[in-house]
Amino acid sequence: MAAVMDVYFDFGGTDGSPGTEQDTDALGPPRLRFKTADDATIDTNNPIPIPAAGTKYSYWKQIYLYCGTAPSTKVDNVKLYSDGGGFGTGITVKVGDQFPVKTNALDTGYEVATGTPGDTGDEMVAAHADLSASTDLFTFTSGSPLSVSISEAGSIIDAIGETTNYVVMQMEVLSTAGSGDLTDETLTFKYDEV
Amino acid sequence: MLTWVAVYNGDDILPQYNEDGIENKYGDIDRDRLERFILIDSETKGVKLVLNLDPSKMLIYRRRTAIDIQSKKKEVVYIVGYQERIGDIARQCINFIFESTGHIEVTDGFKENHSWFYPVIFLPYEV
Repeated sequence: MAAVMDVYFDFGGTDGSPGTEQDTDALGPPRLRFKTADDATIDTNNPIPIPAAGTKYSYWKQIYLYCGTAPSTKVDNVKLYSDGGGFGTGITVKVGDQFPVKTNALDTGYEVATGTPGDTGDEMVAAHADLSASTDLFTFTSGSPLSVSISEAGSIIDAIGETTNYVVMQMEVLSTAGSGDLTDETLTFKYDEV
Repeated sequence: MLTWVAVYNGDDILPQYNEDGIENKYGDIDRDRLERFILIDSETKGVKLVLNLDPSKMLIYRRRTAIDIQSKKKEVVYIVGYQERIGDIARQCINFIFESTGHIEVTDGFKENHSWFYPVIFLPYEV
């Protein structure tokens, strides 16, 4: 039977113990919204203000692939990429260069997103213990994707409940950004199965 | 969806799914006796691709899936081909079957910076 892989993200709770493991299938489009709060609600609350100077940040999001139906042998070679577009002047989405650990049994890489609700999240490289650098998400495209690591046994996914490690993302807003709702951008996970 | 059938010399076969629905694993294929690897449309039962092999050609097979996070749209490409060693040189012939359109693209090997043709992570018995 073909594997069924779903996109999840964790939020709430405490470090090492997420309060909610959210299946994005249960959310309406666009499934993920960068905001100045740590929740899954797709709404217009807690937008990221445009600063007069400097940078405002969303609360970071920690997403991963979750195995809902197991493959015959394995899922591996997981990639993530954007459509290369972007959100326009003064707006960036960064993705962590490291992949904090998430498995069926462990959430040791989970760090609660922090900040001031309605104002700004804390910058993720400075505040997330497992990140030391980040890259513009929109530099990763289908021909040059981000390779996402797996900490399950054998670095493969072969059972229900197994996951990739976390991909941590955060939106950054500069004073040059325009206001209003942004047009949705496309993110794609890709994986091999046998 | 496409399913596979391994055909051995002597014409006995190992299907991906037995008549009782039990799934055989890719690793169960006896590569020493493998003569043909066939992909079949599971709905129409029509043959999609036949890959002829001999003991020098190491079968490679994957099902590659892309999930759009926003739309949840999935695109599937089946990767079917082989690698053989001629001296110190590894030669590949890889077919990429696009499920949504049914068309097949053939390459002389995996391509690192291609959106679909990038390499698999090989299993020990594929190299």
